[in-house]
Amino acid sequence: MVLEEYVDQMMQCTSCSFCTVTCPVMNVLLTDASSPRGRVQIAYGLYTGELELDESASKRLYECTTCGMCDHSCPSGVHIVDVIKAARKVVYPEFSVEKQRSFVNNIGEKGHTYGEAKEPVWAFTGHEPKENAEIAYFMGCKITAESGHAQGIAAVRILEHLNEDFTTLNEVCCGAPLMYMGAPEEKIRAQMEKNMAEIRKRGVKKVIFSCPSCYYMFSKVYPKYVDISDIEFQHIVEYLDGKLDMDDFDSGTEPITYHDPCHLGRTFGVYEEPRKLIKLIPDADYMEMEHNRENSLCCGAGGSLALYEPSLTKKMAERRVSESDGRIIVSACPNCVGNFSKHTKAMSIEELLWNKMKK
Amino acid sequence: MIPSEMLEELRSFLGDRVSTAPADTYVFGFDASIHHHKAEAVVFPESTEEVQRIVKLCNKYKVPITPRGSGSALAGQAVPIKGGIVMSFKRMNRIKEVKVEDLQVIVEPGVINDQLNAELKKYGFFFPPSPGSGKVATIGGMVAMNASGMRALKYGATRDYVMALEVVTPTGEIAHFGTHTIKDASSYQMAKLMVGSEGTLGIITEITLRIEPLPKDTSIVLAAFEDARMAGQTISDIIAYPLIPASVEFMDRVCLQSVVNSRAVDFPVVDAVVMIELEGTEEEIKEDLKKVEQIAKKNGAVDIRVSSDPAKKSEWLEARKAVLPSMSQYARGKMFMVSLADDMSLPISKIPDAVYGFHEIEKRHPHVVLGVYGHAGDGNLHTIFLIDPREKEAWEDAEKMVEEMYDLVIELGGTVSGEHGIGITKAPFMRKEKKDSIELMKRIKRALDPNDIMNPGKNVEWDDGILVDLRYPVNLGGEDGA
Repeated sequence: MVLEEYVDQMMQCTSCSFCTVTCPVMNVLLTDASSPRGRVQIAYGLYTGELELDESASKRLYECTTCGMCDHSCPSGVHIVDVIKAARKVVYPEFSVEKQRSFVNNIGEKGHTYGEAKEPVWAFTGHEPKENAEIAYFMGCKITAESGHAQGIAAVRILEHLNEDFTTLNEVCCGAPLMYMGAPEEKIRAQMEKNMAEIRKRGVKKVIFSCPSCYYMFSKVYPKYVDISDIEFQHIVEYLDGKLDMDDFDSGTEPITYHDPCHLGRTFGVYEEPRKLIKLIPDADYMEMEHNRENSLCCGAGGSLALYEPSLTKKMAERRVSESDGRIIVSACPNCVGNFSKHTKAMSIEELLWNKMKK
Repeated sequence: MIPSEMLEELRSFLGDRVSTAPADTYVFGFDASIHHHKAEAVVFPESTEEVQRIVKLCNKYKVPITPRGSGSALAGQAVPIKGGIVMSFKRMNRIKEVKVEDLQVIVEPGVINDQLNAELKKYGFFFPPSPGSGKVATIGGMVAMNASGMRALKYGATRDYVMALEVVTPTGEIAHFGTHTIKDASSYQMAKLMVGSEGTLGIITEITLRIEPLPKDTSIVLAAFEDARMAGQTISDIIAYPLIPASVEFMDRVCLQSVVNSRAVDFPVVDAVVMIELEGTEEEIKEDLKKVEQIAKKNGAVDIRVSSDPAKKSEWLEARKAVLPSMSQYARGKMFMVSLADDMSLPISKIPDAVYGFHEIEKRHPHVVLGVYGHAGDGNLHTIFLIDPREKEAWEDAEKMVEEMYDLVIELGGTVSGEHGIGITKAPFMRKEKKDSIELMKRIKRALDPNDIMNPGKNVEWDDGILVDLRYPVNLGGEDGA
């Protein structure tokens, strides 16, 4: 059983509850059963056989955005999100919901979360893939499918404006949604192989991302399966940090705030780079939200929760939006921007920067 | 077994705030103790009236109720050991009224200690008891355990701050104990009886706490020793000087190593560290610092660090508070922290003898690594057991060791719990300590709870051993395999 590998992690949990009070899902649902500790206990029960796998266990395991606040809060060093992801592999075959399975099928059969690409994923940017560029820009499904492409277009325009030697890619889904849902590993591996073949074909040594989940997959998950030690990965805000200065921007913004995406923040510790970029805009009307940096609250869309329980995603987004005090929420993740846009004005950091750049 | 008609009635006024889902009842069978027992149902009341209706039903059908705050109890107090209903207070978490002019705050039981203090800080006040679990501990749970934590030396325990309680009695009456006045000599101190009763005498639904003005300034001294007994001696010498700091914390080598493994903190890893928190005006602190440094040096301190920087003080205090859950980091994957002999209180002068004695006992038990820490300034120690909980021999060794340790505590004039309470895991030793009062306590329990529905089988009622209903994957060969 896949959970056997995580027995030490589960036993390492002292049940102190430190993860429970910080969990943004628990703070909406107000039950220990839907807390990180509760999910570890459910995984433990499934492993020992004391708890039978049923709809109630799968519900609690899927009611999680894998935002990593629990890992960050755990003084016992338990990798809680890894335990939850492992438990989802047990749950997926019997208890995944139709919307999740349709996503998985789309990715497996057509390469992308949204199904078959009507045109090459780079087409709307007008920037064709080429070989032997210095860097590649990996767009990600969310931008190509659901964000009106604005974030991708802005990212490409900024890179063009800076005369960077870069290529777009004939990419497929990175596989992150498959991993979050607990889908069979061979499906994730198939995505990796397709993407790595394309990256190898372009001959680049660095890949940059707009989507923190794609960045996470390539940096933390792909190396477990394929040798990519010769390629560097960066989020675009890290890449742009130091390449721009105040003279590049027109002054003033509408009232804005910045939302730290979970993976970019708590996984990679990228907190200051986006803020430095925003503050390059002279007289930016900027203010922090109450929960920021490592304490940032999840937007609610991560970990496939938006597919499994959209009403919970909505409540989490509303809670986060309530901290923005009517300011435009700027973020460095297409998933967060897409989710916030349903409730308030939100935009990607690429759009903000490109809109304010002197052309 | 909960009768179906009772469940139906519960659902009629709680709706989806009653759950019998297998995963939920399984999760609510845990707290932070070594025990686990599945609940039959979990309820989430939102008002005193709802609590009352639930209790009346439980009393009618003789169904056990286990009240639960954050479920961080270390001795099994929140484990529904006899099944029945777990009552979660996650939805009764409002700070109802802050009345600084009357030195009091009124809260629901689900309010969390640190959240209360964040609110009180806005007024320049605080609720002094400061448990290591302050980030998660609910006020209801703190009252039920008589929790205290780091500042008890100067400020006392939760008991000293409880002015009034609203309680739903086991037979379903709503009773108001105590007063909203600073002084109260009006008959029996019933509110104090409820403090530390661990949910066995009724359900607390509203709490009025006395509050204190925030101290002007604080500084922290870390004194490191290569001989734990001299660290203990330093504590006794500070108190005898006389000097009463806000807190005096003790951590031994195992605890220091664990917390250093777990987080970025500059604690020296030595035989023992004493952490002293001084408060007062700048001048007062300066004077006290001189005295503390003098005493520590005289007792052979190998390193003395002082800070008044808020960031550094917070780093040290948070690291100290994280000792308990960090213990599993000491020997990752091989030994795991289990909650045994987690708490004891001694006359302050006996701390060096207790620390020395515990480590001597440890030498006779090869399956256990022992960590000792605690609020040594007020005589309250905590010990942490690291064992491999998959091994039967480790449990047998640990069980014997717990008994020897509590025998020593009683011999030194101490008590088996300073602040974590009795629950299941300390009940046999409490019986030993309180030989001549246990029957009287049982009579009080029976008088208030004739149907024995309130957290039954715990504390004064527990008459079994400690290795029961274990949550770990081990077969000890008992009747239930535990």
